[in-house]
Amino acid sequence: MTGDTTARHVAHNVYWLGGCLSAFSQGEEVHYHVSSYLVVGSTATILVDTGDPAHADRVMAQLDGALAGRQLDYIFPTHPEIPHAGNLPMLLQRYPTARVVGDTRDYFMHFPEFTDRFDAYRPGDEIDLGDRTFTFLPAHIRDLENTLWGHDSGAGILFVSDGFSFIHETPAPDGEDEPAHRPGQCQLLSGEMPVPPSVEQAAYGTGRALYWTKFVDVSSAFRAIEDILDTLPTTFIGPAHGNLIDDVDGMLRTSLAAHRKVYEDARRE
Amino acid sequence: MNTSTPRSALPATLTGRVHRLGGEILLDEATSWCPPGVRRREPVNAYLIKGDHGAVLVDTGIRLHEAEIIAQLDVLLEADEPLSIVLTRTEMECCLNIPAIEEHRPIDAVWYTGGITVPRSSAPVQRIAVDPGTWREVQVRDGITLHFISPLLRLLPTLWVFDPVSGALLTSDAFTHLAPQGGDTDSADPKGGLHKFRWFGDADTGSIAADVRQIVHGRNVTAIGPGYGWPATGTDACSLEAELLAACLEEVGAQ
Repeated sequence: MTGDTTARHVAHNVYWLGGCLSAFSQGEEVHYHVSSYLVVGSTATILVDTGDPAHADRVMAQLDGALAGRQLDYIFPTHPEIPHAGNLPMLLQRYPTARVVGDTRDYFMHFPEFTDRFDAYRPGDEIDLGDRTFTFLPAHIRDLENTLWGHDSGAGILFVSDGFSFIHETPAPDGEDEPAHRPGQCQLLSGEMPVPPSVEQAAYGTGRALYWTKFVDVSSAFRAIEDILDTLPTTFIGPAHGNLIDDVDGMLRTSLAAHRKVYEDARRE
Repeated sequence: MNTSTPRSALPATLTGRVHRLGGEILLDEATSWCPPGVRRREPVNAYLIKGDHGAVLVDTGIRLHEAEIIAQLDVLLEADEPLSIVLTRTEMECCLNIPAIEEHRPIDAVWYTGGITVPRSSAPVQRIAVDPGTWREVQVRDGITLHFISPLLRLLPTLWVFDPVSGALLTSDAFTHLAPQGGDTDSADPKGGLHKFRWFGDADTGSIAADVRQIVHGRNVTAIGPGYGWPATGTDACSLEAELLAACLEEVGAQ
């Protein structure tokens, strides 16, 4: 995301697309990430999440540039919400041979004109991209049940959808329900930020975007995530609603602490 | 293969001035909220609240039922009758028909809650924030003042909409387990409607159950209209269903 229409190349043949959408909170501009990721294998390509129709033109331009003439073979919306799957119609029209992959339940009712292009995958299933493998994983932190995570073996990126959301600066609470941050920090890796994300900043996004975590101790989910990291070499974590994480161990600790804070704060209310 | 059958070209009256729109789907493993082993037809609903000077459409139905929704609106509304839309969530089953409706008739406002997803509409889009566990009274248009209730029973930012004039409580993705009137009551197990909320099994759900009771028992609810599944009608039936759902929430939760 080095510019509005240029995706950021973040690892070997992996591109960070999308960017931040702008909103106003108490008169101040705040941003929230709505990210997509393109993985380019030697024989096939896959797009993780579609972005929001609100920035469809930006995503399409970034995607065209990153593909550099290659076809888009697979589109993996991590779950059927608008920031993750809202651009599917436009993408399927632009790339007429692309297949929609993942947990494809419900898509028949949202995009009935494309039902012949949906292929269901389950946790553990793989797609061979040539010189790298894309693996579907259970989403241990999610809102909708029909959410999957994914892992790219080529660059060691774990794509976590709504998991690991965080902001940079915490606006004053005003009932906002979604993670947000300030302008100017949109395209940085977590390790490039002047100060690492704090527990409070991670908790801000977590508590609002994943409401249920106020009621649930997620320690077991984090043990499952650590099992994934033990099994699949992971250098990056790619959330849809936060900067790309290149300090995996640090953010794992921060995110778990954030979930605990959200849960414990709710117990005290 | 999941298929759709139009419920009817004609909308159904829920209660008083509130009408139920939409069509049916085959509820099976192709639908994420389907309980294990279930295979039956069930409706996916939008609701129209008709006032004397315009109407409010609560959710817009699924795109699979786009034609039915537009035809049903034509039955209920004059061509130039003012129409506003209220979204109970900004999830796809609630808002994806906005563009098609807008192509067919003017919409003067879209109300929604949440933040990250702003509905795409050429009409003014008005965000409303309601703290979970509380509610606000909002005059959506002349003659239609509604309670926007933010329930604790939710995954995402959600509004339940109560119309004090008719007593209709529109509950979005809750109360989705109800059986059709005169139908198989065995299918009306509240647990069947909680498949979407599997996290309840690890949660202390006492406050969520209490919130359901407070919302329904604190109002004169004459009908419960879920976003999918069958409605309940009658004050006693609604009160009973609220109690059954609350008790089920307490049972499934980790106390």
